Amino acid sequence: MLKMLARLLKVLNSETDPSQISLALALAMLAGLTPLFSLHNILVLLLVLMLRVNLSAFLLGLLFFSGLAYLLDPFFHWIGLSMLTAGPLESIWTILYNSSLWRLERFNNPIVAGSLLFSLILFIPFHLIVKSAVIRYRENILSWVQKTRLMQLLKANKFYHIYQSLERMR
Amino acid sequence: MKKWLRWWGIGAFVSLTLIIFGLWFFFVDSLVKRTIEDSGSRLVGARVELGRADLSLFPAGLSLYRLQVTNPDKPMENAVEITRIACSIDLTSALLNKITINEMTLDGVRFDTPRKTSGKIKQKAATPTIKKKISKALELPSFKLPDVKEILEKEDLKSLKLIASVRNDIDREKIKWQKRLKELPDKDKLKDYERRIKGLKSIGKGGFGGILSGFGELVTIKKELEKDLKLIKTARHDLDNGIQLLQKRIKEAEAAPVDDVRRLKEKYALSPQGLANITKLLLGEKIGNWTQTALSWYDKLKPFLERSGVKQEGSDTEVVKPLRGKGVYVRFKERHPTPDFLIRKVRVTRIETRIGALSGKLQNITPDQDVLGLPLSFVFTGDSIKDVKSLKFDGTLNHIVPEKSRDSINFSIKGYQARNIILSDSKDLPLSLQKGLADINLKAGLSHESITARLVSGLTSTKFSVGKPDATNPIVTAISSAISDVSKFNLTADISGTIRDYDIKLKSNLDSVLQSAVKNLAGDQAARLEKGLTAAITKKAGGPLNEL
Repeated sequence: MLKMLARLLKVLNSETDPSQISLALALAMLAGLTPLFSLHNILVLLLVLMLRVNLSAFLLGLLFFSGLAYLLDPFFHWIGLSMLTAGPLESIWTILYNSSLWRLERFNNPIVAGSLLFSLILFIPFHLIVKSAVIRYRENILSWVQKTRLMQLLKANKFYHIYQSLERMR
Repeated sequence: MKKWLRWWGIGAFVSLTLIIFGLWFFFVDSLVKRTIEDSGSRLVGARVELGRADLSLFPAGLSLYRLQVTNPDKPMENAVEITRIACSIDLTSALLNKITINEMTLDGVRFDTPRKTSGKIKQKAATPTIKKKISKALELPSFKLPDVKEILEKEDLKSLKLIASVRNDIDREKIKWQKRLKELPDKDKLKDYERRIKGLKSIGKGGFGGILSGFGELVTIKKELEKDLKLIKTARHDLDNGIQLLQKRIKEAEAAPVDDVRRLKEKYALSPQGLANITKLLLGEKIGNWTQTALSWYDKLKPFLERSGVKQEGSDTEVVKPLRGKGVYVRFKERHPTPDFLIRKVRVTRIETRIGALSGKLQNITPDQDVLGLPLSFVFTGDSIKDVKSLKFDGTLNHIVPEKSRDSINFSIKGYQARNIILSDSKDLPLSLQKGLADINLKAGLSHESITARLVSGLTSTKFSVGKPDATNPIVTAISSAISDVSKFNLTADISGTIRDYDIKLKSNLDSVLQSAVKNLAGDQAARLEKGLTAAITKKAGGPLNEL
């Protein structure tokens, strides 16, 4: 847990482009909220490795969103089922259902459909919000955080040594 | 652009994909084995074990070795054990996320094989689904003459209760009348009337005024006398009624011992009518158990015949539960509809049974018969079975329209050399069929929930054996002798009702044989019992009856 927190601070406090961090987290949200062994996650993995996004942020985000997905599954099921059984959309689903690629994607499973739709809708807003948050953090909060008593206390314990060792490795 | 691209990432992706594929290839067999064991155990309700699984991609196929399915009712026994299962999988269907097995071959199928370890698993208590119709309550009648003393010790005599009740009524009436008599005019009252009437004679001497007052007194006396007379008349009427009622009750009490004798005789004496359906008593439980076992397995197999789906109103969309796992899938109209799971053909090369090896085939195993439009059919035959001339077991399980499902099963054995089959292990009548040549035909049909089945069997050259019967009992001896002479035995079993509440009717020529064999002896035995009961009950009830 300490290592993970140290990694997060390392990422936030580094000189990494905020877009790379936010895109990594947005992709982590997409992969984490939807069932991991889904076809679209192969594409996500390709994008994560090919685009210069922050891998630590992606891994941390994946862990967080996978945990969150368990809590949100009933909600995703509800969204997915409502969408898949909506009369006006039936013709679209029927076309997709007759395609091998979409069948392998298991789009007709309400949890897959619900979570994918939810993450895709949130993808761009989430990316922009996180990007702006990282910029603001670095501009306003980082220096304040460094001066806080809490940070001073943290610097004195094991956690800070882990953080330092990671910094040296950079 | 360069700022955003990580070219080595493509290499990493390819390497990672290869590693994942390699790991999958390395572990897929264990994964398949585990999946089959877990899902199978959950479905059967007892441990399902697999020796080894082998999945190949080119050509696409799956081989399973040593599959053991524990009998949930007998955890130390496998319901079925299969040496090898080989299937060829349709890859085109797999791309559509469907499982289609074009052909499956089963080698070395054996039933009821022993297990080294228990196959019991922890499960939620299941609700009883199939009601057992034939219970242990059906027992052979006792062939011994029952002891009168023992009967009277455990039976309540209604006559004694009735006599005691009449005695109470008489006592109550006595008390009531003692009270009532006190309310009626007695001797003193009559003397008072005498005195008052004599007094009237002297009043006449007192002139006109005296006469008038005398007349008034006379009217009063008359009214009082009339009132008292009415009281006496009513009392007499009530007394007559009470006596009549008590006399009736006494008559009933006098007849009660005879009723007791008749009731106990009917209960304890062996009557020829009691043996009218001895076939049911001998074979009913066995046939009931077979039926129940068959229906329990049918219940377990039902999810493989039809899927529980909810059709959306006014559309072709259907929400269905997958066979295994959790969650639901929504199905839409397909251009070329095919089932999600289908085994087109199963070839069973060898099924080891107690009587020999069978072979057969099954077609169209799918929970989506409505999509396929074809029913499941099967046929098994055995032509070179020891002691059997020919055997055929075939049927169709039609669930194309689930709410109008129609299943039919036919089973026939010709020329079966039956040997040493225990028909009854009753202490009084241990009966077995030593030998016989049997032809057995079973036709069973299941229309949705209602079941009809008829089993007709005919045995010739039969030889029955009655274990070690009680030789001192003439009825058992007579039955033994009659059964020993039976050289032809036919049995018809009719099962009807619903799968949860069915009735079994059995008929055979043994019924009439046994009925005529014991007719006279049973009559003598009943007469002796009646005599004993009459003497004992008369003795018990005689004293209290005389006191009434």
